[in-house]
Amino acid sequence: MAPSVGIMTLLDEVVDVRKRNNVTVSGNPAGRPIVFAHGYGCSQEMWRFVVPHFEQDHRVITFDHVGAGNSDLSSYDRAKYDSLYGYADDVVQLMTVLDLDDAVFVGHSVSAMIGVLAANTAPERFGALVLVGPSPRYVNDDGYIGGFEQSDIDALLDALDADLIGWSQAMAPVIVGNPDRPHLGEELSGAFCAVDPEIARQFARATFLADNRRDLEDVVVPTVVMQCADDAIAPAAVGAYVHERIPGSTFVQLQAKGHCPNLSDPDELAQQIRAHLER
Amino acid sequence: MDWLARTAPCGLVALSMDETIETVNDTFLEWLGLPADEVIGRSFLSLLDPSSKLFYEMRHAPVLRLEREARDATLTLVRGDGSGLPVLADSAVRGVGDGERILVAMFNATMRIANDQRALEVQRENERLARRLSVLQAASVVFSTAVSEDELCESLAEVACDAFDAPDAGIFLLDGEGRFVLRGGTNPLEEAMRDVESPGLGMRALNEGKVIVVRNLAEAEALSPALADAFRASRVESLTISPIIDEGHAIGVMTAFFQRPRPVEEVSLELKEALTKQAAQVLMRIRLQQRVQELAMHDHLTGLPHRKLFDDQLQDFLSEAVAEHGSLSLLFLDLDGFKAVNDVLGHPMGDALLAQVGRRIRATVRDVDAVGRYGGDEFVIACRRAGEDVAMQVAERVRAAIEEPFEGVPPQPAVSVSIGVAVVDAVGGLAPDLDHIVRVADTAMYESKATGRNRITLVRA
Repeated sequence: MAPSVGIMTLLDEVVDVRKRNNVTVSGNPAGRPIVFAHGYGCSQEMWRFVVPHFEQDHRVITFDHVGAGNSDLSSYDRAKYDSLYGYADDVVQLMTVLDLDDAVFVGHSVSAMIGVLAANTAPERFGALVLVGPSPRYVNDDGYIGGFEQSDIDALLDALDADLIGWSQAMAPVIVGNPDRPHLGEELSGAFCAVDPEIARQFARATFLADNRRDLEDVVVPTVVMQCADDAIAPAAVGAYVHERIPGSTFVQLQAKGHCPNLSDPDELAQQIRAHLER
Repeated sequence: MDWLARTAPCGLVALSMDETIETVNDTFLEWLGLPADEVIGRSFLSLLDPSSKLFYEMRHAPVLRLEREARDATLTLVRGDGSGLPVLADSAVRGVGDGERILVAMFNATMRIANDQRALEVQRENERLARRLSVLQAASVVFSTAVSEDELCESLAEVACDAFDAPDAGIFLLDGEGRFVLRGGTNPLEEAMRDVESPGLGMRALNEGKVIVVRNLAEAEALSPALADAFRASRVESLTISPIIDEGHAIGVMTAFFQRPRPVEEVSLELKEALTKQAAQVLMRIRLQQRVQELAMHDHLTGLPHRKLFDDQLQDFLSEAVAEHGSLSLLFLDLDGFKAVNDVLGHPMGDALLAQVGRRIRATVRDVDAVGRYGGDEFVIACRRAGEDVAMQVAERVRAAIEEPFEGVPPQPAVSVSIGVAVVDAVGGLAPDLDHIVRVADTAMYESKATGRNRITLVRA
C-alpha cells in the first residue's frame, strides 16, 4: 500500500469490502485462512454444509459476489463486472483487506476460474487453489470440448433475459414468521441463494461467454482440480484439460455426482480438500 | 387417487437424492413418447436440453437442496423423437433419512414459452430504445457543458464506458499531421502497441465511415498477430472503433475496449453511431468557438495578436526569465511618416502598407519571438531569452527591413521605423512588472523619434 494512503482510508476500505461482498469470517483466527467462493446462480449459502468441517483449525472466509446473497447491490458497476476480471479483482481486494497469507482458495464452478484470475494477479496471497468443477470455456471450439454449443448458451441467455426461469422466487420477501418485514432497499432478502435477476443476466454473459483457457498455464499457485462424477456442466474432459494445462496441478476424482458436490456430498468434498491440504 | 396421479395433466416424477428417476406417471411418459423401462433408472438431467441442464444444475438444484423446495423453473425436456417440450417445474424434497426423495411436478408450458419468446423480442427492442434514449440524453447534458476539446473527449469516454459496459474507452483525435492522439479516456493497449506497427483500424473506420468491430482474440489474430499479442498482454478481448465524422470531415475515433468476447447482438452499432454523431457536432461547435475567439484575439489586417494576447505571451516570457534568472527584451516600434502615407496615398494604401510591415516584421524576427500590433502604426516584439546583444541585432534587422521599398506602394512619402528597446535581466529572480517594461520601451521609442527617427534606443528596464 502506498505510504500516502492514510489509516482512515484503509479502515474505510475494510468496511467497504466486507459490506460489498457480505464477508463472513468464522473458525479459528490463528488457523490457515481458507476462502470459499460460490458459483453462478447462488450465494455463499452453497458452502454452509462444508464450512463446519474447517472451522476448528482454519480461519474460514465466505462471501457473496456482488449481485448475490446479501452483497451490496449499490456496488454493482456494469463496466467492471462485464468480465470475470471484475470479480477476480474483488477477490484480490478482499484477500488484501483481510491481509490473508498462504490462503487456501476453494472456488466452485465459475469461481474456480475467478480464483485462477485472482491467483495470477496476486499469487503472493495464495497458498493453494482448489478448483471444484472448473471450466475455462463452456462453448466447444476447434479441438476443445467445453460441453456446450454456442446455441445452447444463447438459449440460456434468452431464457435469462426473458426472466423465464424464476429468479422471482428468490426475490419474494419470504421470511417465515415475519411476513410484514419491509423490503430492504438495496439488499436481497428472503430465500437462500438470492440473486438479482438483472445482474444475473450480465453475470451469465461474463461466465458463459468467457474463454480463460490461456490463463491456466500462467498459474503458479499449487492447484488441485476436483472433478465430480457425471458433471453435465463441467464434464470429465474439461476437468482433465484444466489439470493438464495448469503446471504441476493435482487431479482428484470425486464420487459425488452432479455439478454441486458442496450440496450433494459436502462430507466427501470437505474430506478430500482436507486430505489434499494435509499431504 | 392412484388414477389421479397417473393421469393428471401434469408430469410427476420421483427421483433419488442423486437425481436418478425412480417413479414417473403416465402423463410424463406420454410427453416423452418413451416406455417406462427407458426412463426409469436414468438421470433426470439426461432428459433436459443443454441450456436447461445449466440452469437446473446451477440454480434449481442448489435452491432445492438448501430450501427443500424450488419453484418456477422453465425447463425443456428432450422427447424420444428428439424434439423439445418446455415445462414449468416445481420441485420439493419429501421424506426423511433413506426415505428422502426429490419430487418434481411439471406443467406443459408450450404456449407460455411461445408467448414469452414474442414478449422477449418486444422487451429487448424496448430496452434497446430506452437505453439509446437515456444514453443520448445523458450525453447531451454532459456535452453541453464542455468548453474545450479535451473536456468533451473526457466526457465522451465516460459516456461510452457507461453506455457499452466497457471497462475502458479512449477518444483519439487526428492531429495536424493526420496521427491519432489520445485526448480523453484511456488506451489499455498503449504500452503493448508502442513498438508495434498499428493495423490501421482507426483509419479504416474513418475511410469506410463505419464501426469496426474486433469481436474476439481470433479476429484480432486474423487482423494482426501483434494486435492479438497486445490484447493478451492487456486483458483486452474485444474492441469497437467508431468513426467521429462531421459532414465528411474526419475528426477521430471512439474506441471501446472489453475484457471478454463480444457477441454480435451486444455491439449496439446504432447507438455508437448516434453517440459519435452527437459528439462530432459538439466538437465542431467547440472548434468554431475557438476559431472565433482566435480571430477576436488577432488583428484582421496583419493577422498579428492584439494587445491582450500579446501581453499574455510577454508575461509568459517574463515569468520564464524570472524562473531562470535570465533575460528578455521588449521592442516597441512606431512607424515614421505613416500619417503622410494615409494623407497623400489614402487609407487603402496605408492598410496595404501596414499588412506588409506586419509580414516583414514577422519574417525578420527569430522563430521564438512574439510579434503583436498595439494599434495604429504601433508594433511590439517580445524577444524571448534575449539580452542586450540579441535585442539590438533583432532591432537593427527590423529597422533595416522597414527601409526597403514596399510592393505596390509608391516610394514617397518615405516610411521608416523608430524603435525603443527595454532589456530585462532578471538577476536574482527579480524583474519589474509588465506595465513598467512596456512604459520603458515606449519612452525609449519616443527618444528615438526625438533624436532623428529611423533609429534604435536601448534602455535597461
